Amino acid sequence: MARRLAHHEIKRAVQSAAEAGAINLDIPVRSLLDSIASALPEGGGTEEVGLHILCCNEYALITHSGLSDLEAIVAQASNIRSSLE
Amino acid sequence: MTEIRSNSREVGVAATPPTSSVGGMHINRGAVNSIARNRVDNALAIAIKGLDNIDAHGKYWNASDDPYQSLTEKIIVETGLLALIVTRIPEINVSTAGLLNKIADRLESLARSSEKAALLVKYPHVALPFGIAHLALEELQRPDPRFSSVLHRALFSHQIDSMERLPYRKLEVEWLRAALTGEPLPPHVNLCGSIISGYPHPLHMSIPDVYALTHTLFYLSDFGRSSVQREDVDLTWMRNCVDSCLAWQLFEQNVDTVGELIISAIALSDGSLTATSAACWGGIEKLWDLMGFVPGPNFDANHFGSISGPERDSYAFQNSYHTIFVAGIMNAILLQKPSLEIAIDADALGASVASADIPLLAEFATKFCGSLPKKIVAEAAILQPGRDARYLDLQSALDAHSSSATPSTVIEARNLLDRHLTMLQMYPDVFTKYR
Repeated sequence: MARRLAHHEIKRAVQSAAEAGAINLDIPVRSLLDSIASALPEGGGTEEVGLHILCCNEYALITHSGLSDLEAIVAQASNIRSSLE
Repeated sequence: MTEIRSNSREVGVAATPPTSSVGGMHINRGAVNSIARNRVDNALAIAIKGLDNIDAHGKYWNASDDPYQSLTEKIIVETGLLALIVTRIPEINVSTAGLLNKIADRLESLARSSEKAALLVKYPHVALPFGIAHLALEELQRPDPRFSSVLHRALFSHQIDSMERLPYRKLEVEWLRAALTGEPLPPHVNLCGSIISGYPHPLHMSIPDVYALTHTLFYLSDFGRSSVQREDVDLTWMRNCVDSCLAWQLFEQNVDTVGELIISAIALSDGSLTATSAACWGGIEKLWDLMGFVPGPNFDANHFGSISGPERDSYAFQNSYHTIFVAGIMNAILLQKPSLEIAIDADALGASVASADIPLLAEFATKFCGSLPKKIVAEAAILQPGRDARYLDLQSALDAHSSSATPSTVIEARNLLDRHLTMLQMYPDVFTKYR
């Protein structure tokens, strides 16, 4: 991510990664963020992630954030309420 | 049958309403007000506990070198905003007044300090966040002439504009200046570059765009106190845009943005809430009723379950306080609008969602209304393939749902398809997914 890529280079790189099964083009943006963030060194990583998302948005690879898992939260509701109240 | 897709979920939607569709509903304002007062008190109580534990919670938050951008400061400001909007409720009851006093007791030391005064002198732009909590305290009859003097010098200094701001943040400065001086927002406040000056549509919007749109409407309406009236803004388009965004975010289960969009719908209303807004309010209410709170969009139940003790309490607060405050503010604004009609015409209802796998928040909205408004289903059915760039599905959704969707969604979806088909002629080797 340190090197600036031209748009056609990004397209080619992402297409290759998808065909190789290295990435899933339907992946929610949060999962992608998490995986990229975990690969970056502590500190100074935020801008890199932001730039990546900007590129991806241009190509419409990522069109929405992940659906929150409301059912799982509901299952924990009484514990969460205990923490809040 | 067409399909609504929500990430990995495929939800079948009947294109034609069933003959057994329910009739319209007029929602009793007395019942709404009673619920809203409880929710406001619930939000205030959680805010108080959050302030009481802010130091303990803060140990688990990433520290920032920037003293006016820390999560702790953000929470202080947002608590102030919640309290400010609640003070505007007519005939505040005893319990709410007691909770507001407790918040004021805590905010006085947290929101005003010699350190903050020194920051205001050196960095005048911090008058924006600091001023909101100060304004709330003034409305809670806790004046502080010393802090007020330093704050006003900063807020009305030309240096406050000597930084790059997004248009809605510029508007926030104007709103705060007006609020602190008791003046209305200047009627022709500059909207140059604002999202509201264009024709935004959720087929192309990001979550930050939703944030920009809603906050622009917050400040223009003084948080729903007045209706937005601008000759240079296409208000019909904006009302449709807010409804479309609500349908999108309802199916994304983002209570945060759904609450902010309902506030925006109130700011744009002409005396009644749209069927979409009313159904979404009902969905949030059902969720709050079940859980006793409303969660933020980033709440990870698995992570919450893996931690314990103070860390767990901190995580719960960090990942739900904002959404609870938004929902509290939404209900406080409803209480300020006793004449706002909340009704859904029989003709608007009747869409049935066939699958039991419908997202929970949309399911709650369905339970509230008896069936989902047709417009919500039509909008979601078109927006999901459109946002995912599944153009064949988008064409099918348009064929099935155009008559129930907003005109702006139909126009923008057709424009999107037209641009795509034109592009395909020039780039026939485009990714398979986008064909």
